[in-house]
Amino acid sequence: MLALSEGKEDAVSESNDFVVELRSVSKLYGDTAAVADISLKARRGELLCLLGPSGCGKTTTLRMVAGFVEPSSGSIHINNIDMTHQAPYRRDTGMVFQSYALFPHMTVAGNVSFGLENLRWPREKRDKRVDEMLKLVELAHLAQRLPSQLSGGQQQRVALARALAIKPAVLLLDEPFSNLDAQLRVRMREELQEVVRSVNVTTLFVTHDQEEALTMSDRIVVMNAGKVEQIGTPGEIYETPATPFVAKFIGWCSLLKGTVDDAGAFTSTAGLRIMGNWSAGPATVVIRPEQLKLSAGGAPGQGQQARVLHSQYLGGATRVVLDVNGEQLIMQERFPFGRHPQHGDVLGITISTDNLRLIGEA
Amino acid sequence: MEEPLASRRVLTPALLLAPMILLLVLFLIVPTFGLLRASFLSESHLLDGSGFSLKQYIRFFSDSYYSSVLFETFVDGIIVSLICLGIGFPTGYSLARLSPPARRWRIIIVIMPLTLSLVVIVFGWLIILGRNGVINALLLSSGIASSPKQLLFSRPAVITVLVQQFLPFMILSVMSVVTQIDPVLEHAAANLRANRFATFRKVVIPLALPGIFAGFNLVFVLSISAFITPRLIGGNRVAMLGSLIYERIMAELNWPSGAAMAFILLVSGLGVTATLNALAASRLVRKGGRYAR
Ligand SMILES: Nc1ncnc2c1ncn2[C@@H]1O[C@H](COP(=O)(O)OP(=O)(O)OP(=O)(O)O)[C@@H](O)[C@H]1O
Ligand SMILES: [Mg+2]
Repeated sequence: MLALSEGKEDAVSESNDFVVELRSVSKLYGDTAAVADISLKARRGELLCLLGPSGCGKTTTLRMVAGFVEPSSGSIHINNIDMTHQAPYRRDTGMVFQSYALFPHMTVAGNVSFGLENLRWPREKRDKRVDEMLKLVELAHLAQRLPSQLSGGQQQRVALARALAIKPAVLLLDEPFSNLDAQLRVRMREELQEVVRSVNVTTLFVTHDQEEALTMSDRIVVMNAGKVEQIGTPGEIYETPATPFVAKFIGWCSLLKGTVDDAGAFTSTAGLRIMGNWSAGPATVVIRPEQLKLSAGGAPGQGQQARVLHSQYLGGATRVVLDVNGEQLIMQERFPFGRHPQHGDVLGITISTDNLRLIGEA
Repeated sequence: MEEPLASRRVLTPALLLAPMILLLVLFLIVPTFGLLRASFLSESHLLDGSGFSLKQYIRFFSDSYYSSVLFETFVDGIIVSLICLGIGFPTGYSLARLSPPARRWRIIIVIMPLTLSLVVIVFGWLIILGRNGVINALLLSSGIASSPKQLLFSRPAVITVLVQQFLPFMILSVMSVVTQIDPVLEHAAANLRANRFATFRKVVIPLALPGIFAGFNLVFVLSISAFITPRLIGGNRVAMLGSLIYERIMAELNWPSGAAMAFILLVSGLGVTATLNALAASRLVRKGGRYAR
């Protein structure tokens, strides 16, 4: 196992610098596929996020990389070595579990030191590393506490320090923030990002929170029902979703099904027309809230006629669900105080076609 | 209107516990004190004597035969407990790691021997271990032995039968504690480069320690107080304190002597139990880094 972590330096010089690679990996439970034919590569130092709804196979994928679940088919490579059938303790991974899984009978320092003991580091080196890791996560003062005497956020940081202490080739995180409250979650997100960047470790991160994925990742793997829908940077995923599922899952949006006629204009099934010059055929249009604007103060009679179905006051803005020619569209807009739209109001809007995304039917 | 509520909070548990307390006082505490009283009588054959004497205790501790029987009894108790631990821990652990439906009927199999009468169990063993028993028949027919071996009336035979009787207690103690250990901890250990053995040694066993101690305790106490098994399987050659007490009281009707032995067994057994409990309570916390020293 030592040989693996020491081999890291050699791998850097190789041209094919992918730390983790999954090749057509599937996992069947009985007849149902938890993961179906997934291929992905994580570059050195990259923070790659697995994003998808509950039950889409994110945890299963991560556990296959860690070695707790054996794939039904396909292969998993870490540092270009086939690890598909290796025991977990022979793989160069460090995992932060959703429940943290700290050893309750060991102190914070004992937890962090555990992996180093198994790697048979000499005592002085081990002590130095434990101190270094605890300093990194700002827990040096709690080194002698037991996990039961820590807050959720502190436990999470111990789990991170413990996983990073052994200098893994790849850090695996399974929804590490799901047990934290909303404010702490945002803070821990920043902290984690900072720590991961400072040690420059390749990271596979599982979440079902699209905001978490957008803010933290270098690239996002959007998964649905055991399959990869799209892999790309947060910008690519948001601006140019490859499938209606990706569009719907990342951020608020309205999806209109319809057809593009020979003139290049799109007509939805309910009859809403959007001008453009797309190629003819059945298609789906993705309309983000920011692509709907009030036309000239929103007075009716200008632009498209939109009837307010309901509105949600968000503080900085108001989210309004509109009925435009029988299609439901979501708009986000800042209305002057006291002029919030009510159910039944009619507004004039324009649909900005600049960045409008059209997904051709497969 | 507050008072009845407060007093009810004290009264209700007392009422709920009353039948059991009554039963314990009538049939355990009172007889125990009667026995304690009897152990301080000097006349050897009278239960209703009077006076106070340490004669029975002095006799026990001045006769090296008795102290050697006490010692043997404890050694046997420890051996039985250790064997039960060796067999019961892997069994209890694997039961705990099964899904509850798969576990259910296996637990029934583990508990089954406890539903049998001790007499039935002992006679079963007599048939297996006897001169014309199953094992001897096998030894003879396979040619390993030319004449029947004396298997009964030996210490190993007594220990074997005691292990068989008390194994379920160890299995169930270990199982109930291991079910409380999150299996994710074992994954975490494996992820931190611990192989199966290291995971067991550094994570599973320390966390299962309360169950191990509880099972050890139970089996030990049951073993040192056994009297039917040592008498029937061990015969005259194997002396354990339990069978000695039984003989003293039932055969010789020497209550004071039997009572004194019973109290010596009780107090020393409690001593071992208390020591084990203290050991279990002192948390064996693993420190790390420079705090390990
Ligand atoms: N041991 C198992 N036996 C049978 N089916 C399983 C097993 N583990 C997972 N599954 C199934 O595989 C699918 C994927 O599960 P997985 O835990 O990977 O989902 P997930 O994406 O992590 O979801 P969540 O966001 O809820 O954690 C689910 O439908 C689940 O029911
Ligand atoms: Mg999951």
